[in-house]
Amino acid sequence: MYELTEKILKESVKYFQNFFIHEYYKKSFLHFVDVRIKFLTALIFVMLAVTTFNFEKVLFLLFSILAIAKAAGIDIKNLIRRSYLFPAFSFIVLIPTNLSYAAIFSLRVFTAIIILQLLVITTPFNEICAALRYFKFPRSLVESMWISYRYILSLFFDLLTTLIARESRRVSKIGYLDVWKKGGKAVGTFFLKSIEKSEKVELAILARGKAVWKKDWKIKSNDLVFLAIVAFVVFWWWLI
Amino acid sequence: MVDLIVEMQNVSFIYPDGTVGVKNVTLNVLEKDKIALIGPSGSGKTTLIFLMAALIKPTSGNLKVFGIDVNNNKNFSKNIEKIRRKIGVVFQNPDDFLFNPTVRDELLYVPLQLNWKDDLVKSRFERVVKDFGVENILDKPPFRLSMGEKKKIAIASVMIYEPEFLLLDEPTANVDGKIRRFVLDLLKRDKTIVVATHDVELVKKFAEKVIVLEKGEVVSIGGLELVEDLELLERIGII
Amino acid sequence: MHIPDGFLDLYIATTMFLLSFIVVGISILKVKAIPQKFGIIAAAIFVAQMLDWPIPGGTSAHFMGGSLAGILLGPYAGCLAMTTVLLIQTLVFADGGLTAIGANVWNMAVVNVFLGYWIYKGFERFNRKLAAFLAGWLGVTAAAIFCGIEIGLSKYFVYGLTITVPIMAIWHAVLGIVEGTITASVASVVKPVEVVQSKTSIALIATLIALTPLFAYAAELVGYREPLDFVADKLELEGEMIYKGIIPEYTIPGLDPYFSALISAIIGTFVVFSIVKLCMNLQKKYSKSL
Repeated sequence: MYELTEKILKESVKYFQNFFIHEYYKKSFLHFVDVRIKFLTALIFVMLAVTTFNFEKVLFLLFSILAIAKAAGIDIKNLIRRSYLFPAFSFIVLIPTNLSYAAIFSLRVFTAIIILQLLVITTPFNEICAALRYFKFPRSLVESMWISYRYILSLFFDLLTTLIARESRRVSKIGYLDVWKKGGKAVGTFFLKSIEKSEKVELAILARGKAVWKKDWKIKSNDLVFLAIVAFVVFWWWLI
Repeated sequence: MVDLIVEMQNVSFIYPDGTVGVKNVTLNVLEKDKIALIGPSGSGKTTLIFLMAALIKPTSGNLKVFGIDVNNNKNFSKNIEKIRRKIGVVFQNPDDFLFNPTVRDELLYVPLQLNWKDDLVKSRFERVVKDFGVENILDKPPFRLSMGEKKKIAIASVMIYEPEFLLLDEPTANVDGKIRRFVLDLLKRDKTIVVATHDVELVKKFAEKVIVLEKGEVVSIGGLELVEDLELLERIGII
Repeated sequence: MHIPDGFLDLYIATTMFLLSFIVVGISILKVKAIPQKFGIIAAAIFVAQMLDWPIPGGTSAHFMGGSLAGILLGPYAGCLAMTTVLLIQTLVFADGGLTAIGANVWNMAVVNVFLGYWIYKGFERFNRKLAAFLAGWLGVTAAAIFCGIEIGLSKYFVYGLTITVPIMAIWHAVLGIVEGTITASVASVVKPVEVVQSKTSIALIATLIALTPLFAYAAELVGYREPLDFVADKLELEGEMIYKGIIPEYTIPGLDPYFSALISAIIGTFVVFSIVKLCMNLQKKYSKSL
């Protein structure tokens, strides 16, 4: 049981970094680009990254993106640290097939993850919600994403106290199966509380209204600059 | 020689979201100490209680509880249950603390883990039920009770195993006069007691040592004279 | 089990997206509740996934919660809660790819949730705990099998179905025991919700799930090539080299094109970098809006 509480504390550190990432980073050039353009660009870049097995194309795309990130003032080391694990794993898995295939395959995956990370790092979540609404994403899904995002922190502390409460009155050793069972019960209690909370939040929303994501959708000069860069990269990718 | 129950050296605890729980706390709890932790909301009282109960490990610094170093993982996980038996913690919010389907299960939660003889379980159970006057709610689910009743059950479920080291977090918040007097009687028992509170009147009635916290740091440790220092209390926002 | 970008070719990715679109669409129509409700449960599942459960041998597994969502909320709201979880994981944590979102939703928010719910309902009358265990265990395993099918059929990934499916299935069947045990313990505390599902929607969704491999296979038939040939082609290498498995000994001349590629990529990158910098400087000069 104790391990469970400890691990959630450890595990959560890396999760919460994401919630506060916008506070860690100084606002970069990319932060000011229209979120719709950023979103579509990310999608296009990911497509460019995954649809080719041409070493030159992938490498060019990867380096261009890193160059854009660097020029915008993003911490490249941190970006790579957040992205390398899965590609490294897939590389190892694929080594028995063919080394160059393994390398290019993983490089593509790595590039795609970097692109997504860059989007995530430079875009606050409410802007993503606004963009999703603009693209006619179902309102109920965007609303539930928004509410979820808001409440993850508060629910995290609920789960932590639930686990600590059980631990505080655990006076005998328990085996794995018991950890799963007792821990499962603790999680059950936590879900009960969450359901109760959802009812209260429902009332609060009734009382104070829903979140709206209205944005002043206006293309500014930095958007045009960004578009030009993207067009250049896409063109060159196609040219290679 | 008086035994050392808790030994803290430069202990800090930072929550994953960056919130400072406590910062650089150095203090000792001796056997039969009656300590009041006072400080405004968010000053780190609850975190300090969790640390003293060895429920969370410091993010930095040394902490020993009943002589066991919590940072020594192997020794700690070997002995933790023995320590738990001696410690009784009651959380501030009983909703966080009570998790069993009925009050009866709640009270028996620890005794059933301890493999006591049936007679002992029965006599302890009956005594606690009588002491706390909870005969008529034994089969109710705890979350359906009133706040005061929940608080009572939370304390009862700890008192049933007679821990020698009692940690209470805001025991008198949101309770009526009757339960308040009851808590006060409890605090006068012959145990090591740490109470986190901002109820100055309560402190005056039981405490021998007072620790004042502000923004996660210990600003002063002393006797009851600290709660007479109105200027201090006002400055840090207790009154 | 979150598939990142680059594993699924666009035929499969699109097929999975369409399938998910249908079922998530049905769920949105069926759920009358305000989204706050499943939003909070989604957050709770998200947080519960942070727990690493110790397993004998020193490793650990985390909880996925698909079947549990189905049992706690009913299949439709459960599907939406899991979809919410997956979308946040992709758009906040970059867990799971943008192009793979359809497949990820299908495996973890449709297959896991609906199958888990039906298994639970099917066995509930015998024993509630056993039903929840089976739902958790088989739900996760089924989701993993679908994940294996998608990756195995994808032209981009060289390992075929005969490797991907057994590996995913066996591994998750083992991890699924933890999932099942926890689902059972949680379900023993929380009262599951009663949802009336119409026969047509059950039939429709069940058919879609059952036919998924067929859809995916059909999608692959569009311009189908053997994955190995396809990749060989893409790599512009000799077909036989791939089968040999290891790069032959005369790699130095073989490395040459890569080296030149590297050089040209570095030059290209430098050009992009300079252009970006130049543009940004110009823009800063001429605009105060930044």
